[in-house]
Amino acid sequence: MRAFVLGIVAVLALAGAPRPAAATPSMDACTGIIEPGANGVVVLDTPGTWCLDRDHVAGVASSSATRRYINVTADDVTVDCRGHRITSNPASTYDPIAVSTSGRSRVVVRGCGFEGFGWAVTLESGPATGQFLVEDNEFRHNGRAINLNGAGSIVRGNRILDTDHEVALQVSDGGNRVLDNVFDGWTDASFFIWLRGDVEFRGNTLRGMQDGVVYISPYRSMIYVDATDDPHGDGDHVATISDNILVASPYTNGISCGGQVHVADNVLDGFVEALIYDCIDQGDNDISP
Amino acid sequence: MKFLASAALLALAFLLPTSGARAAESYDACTGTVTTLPFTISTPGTWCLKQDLSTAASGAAITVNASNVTLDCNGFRIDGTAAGIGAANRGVAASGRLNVAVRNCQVRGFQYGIVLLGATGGDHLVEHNRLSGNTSFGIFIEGDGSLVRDNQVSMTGGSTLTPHAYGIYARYITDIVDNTVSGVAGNGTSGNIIGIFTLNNTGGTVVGNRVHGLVKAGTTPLRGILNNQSSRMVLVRNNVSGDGSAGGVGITCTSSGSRVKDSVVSGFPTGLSACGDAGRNDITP
Repeated sequence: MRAFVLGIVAVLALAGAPRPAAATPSMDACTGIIEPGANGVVVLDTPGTWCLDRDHVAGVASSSATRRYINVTADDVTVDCRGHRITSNPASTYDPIAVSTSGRSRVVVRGCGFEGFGWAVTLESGPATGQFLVEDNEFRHNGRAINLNGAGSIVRGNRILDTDHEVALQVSDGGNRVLDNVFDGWTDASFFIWLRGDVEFRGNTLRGMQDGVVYISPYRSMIYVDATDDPHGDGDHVATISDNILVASPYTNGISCGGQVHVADNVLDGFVEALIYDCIDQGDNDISP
Repeated sequence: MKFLASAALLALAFLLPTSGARAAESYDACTGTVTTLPFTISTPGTWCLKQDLSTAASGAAITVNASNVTLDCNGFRIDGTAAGIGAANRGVAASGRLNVAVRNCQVRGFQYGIVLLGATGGDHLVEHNRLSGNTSFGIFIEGDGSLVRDNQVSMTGGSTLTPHAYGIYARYITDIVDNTVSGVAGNGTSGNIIGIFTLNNTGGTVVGNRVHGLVKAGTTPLRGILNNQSSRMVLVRNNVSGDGSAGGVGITCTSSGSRVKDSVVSGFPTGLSACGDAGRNDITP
C-alpha cells in the first residue's frame, strides 16, 4: 500500500511538469524536400512524403514540358507544403499547373497555398482507382483550382478563393467525396462547381459567383451535377448534395442536376431557381428567394 | 523496489500519449522566431513562438507588417495582463494586409486579443487559438474572405476604456465556424455585450458556434449573435444561451434573407429577430 501511495505521488509530480506544446510540424516525416530541377520543374518519381520547406515561385511555364511545376510520376506520393505557398511565375507564357499527375493513384496534396496558376491541381488516374486526397489547401486567384478524375477520391477542407476562369472545382469518376470546403469568389460565366458520377458533396459553403445577366441560362448554375456519368459502365449513379450553404449572386441558379441527384438539408439563399432539371428534393432544404 | 516498479508503471500509463496525441516536434518550417515583445514581423512566411512571452507595454505585442504571414504560436502564450485593464493594448495586430494567419496562440490580457484591420485586407485565417481575459474584444477581424475557426474565447470584457465587450467581431465577408465564446461581460456601466457580432457580412456564415456566459451590463440588452447590415447570411447549428435578462435577443439578423437553421437558442426573451427561420431551431425563452 505504501509503495502504491508513493507511486501516485511520483506520478502526480511528473504530471505537473509542463507538456511540450504542439509545434509546427517537423520535417522528420518527409522523404525529401521539394526542389526544382535544372529546367525549373519538379518530378516526384518516388513514393513517399515530399515537403516544402519554404515558399516557392514556380519556374517559367513556356512549353508543355515546363508548364507542370510539380509532376508526380509515381503512386503513393504525398505533396505536403506544410503551410508554404507556390506562386506561378509571372513570366509564364504557357498555362501553368502547380501540381499534376496522370495515370497514377493515391496521390495526396495537402497544406499548400496556390496562387496564379491556370490549373492549380490536376490529378487524373489510370484504369485503377485514383484514391486521391486534396485537403487543407488554400487556392487564390487561379484560373481553375482543382481538376480531379479518379474514383474513391476526397477533396476536403480547402479554401478556394477568387477563381478567375471556368470552373473552380471539377470532379469526375465514381465514389468521390467533396467535404467541408469553402468556395468564395469566381468570375467566369459557366459553372462554379462541376461534379460527375456518384459524388457526395457535403458541408461546403459557396458564394461570390459573378453576377449573371438578365437572361437566365440554365447553365449559369453554381453547381452542375451529372450523375449519369458512368465511366466504368457499372450502372446508374446517385449523387448526394447535402448540408451545404449556397448563397446566390444576382441572376444565378443554384444546382443543376442530371441523373439521380439527391438534394437534402441545404440552405440555398437567393437564387432565381434553386434546383433545376433532375434534382430530387429529399427534404429539409431551405430555399429562400 | 516495489515502490519504483509501481511508480514506473503508473508514470508510463499516465504519460503515454493517448490515441491521436502528437509528440513535441521541431520548428523546421519556421521562417523566423518571435523572441521578445513587442515584435514586428515584416517578412512573409511562418513565424513561430518557442516560449511564453509577456509585456506590460501599450500598443501591439506582435505587429504583422506584411501580407502572407502566418503566426504559429505552437501553443505558447502572449500575455499583456501586466499592462492593466485600462490599457489600450493589442495582442496580435495587422492593418491593411492580406492572408494573415494566426494559429495555436494563447492570447491573454489585451484590450484587443487578435485584431486584423482593414477593408482593403482580407483572406485572413484565425484558428485554434485560446483567448482569455481580453478586456474589450477577443477577436476583431476585417476583410473579405476571412475565416475564424475553432477558437476558444473566454472571459472577455472589463476594460475601463469602454463599457462594450465582444467575443468575436467580424466585418466584411467572414465565416465564423466552430468557435466557443464563453463569458462576455462589461465593466459595470451600460454597454454592448455581444457574443458574436458581424457587420457588412453579406453572404457570410456563422456555423457550429457555442455562445454562453454573457452578463448584461447596465440597461443594454444582451445579444448572443448580432448581424448588422449583413444580408443573406446563413447561421446553422449554433448554440446560444443567455441569462434571461430583459430585452435580450439570441440571434439578430438584418432581414429574413438571412437564414437560421438547426440552432438552439435559450435564455433570451427574443430568440430570433428579423431572421428567416429555416427550420429545426429550438427556441426557448
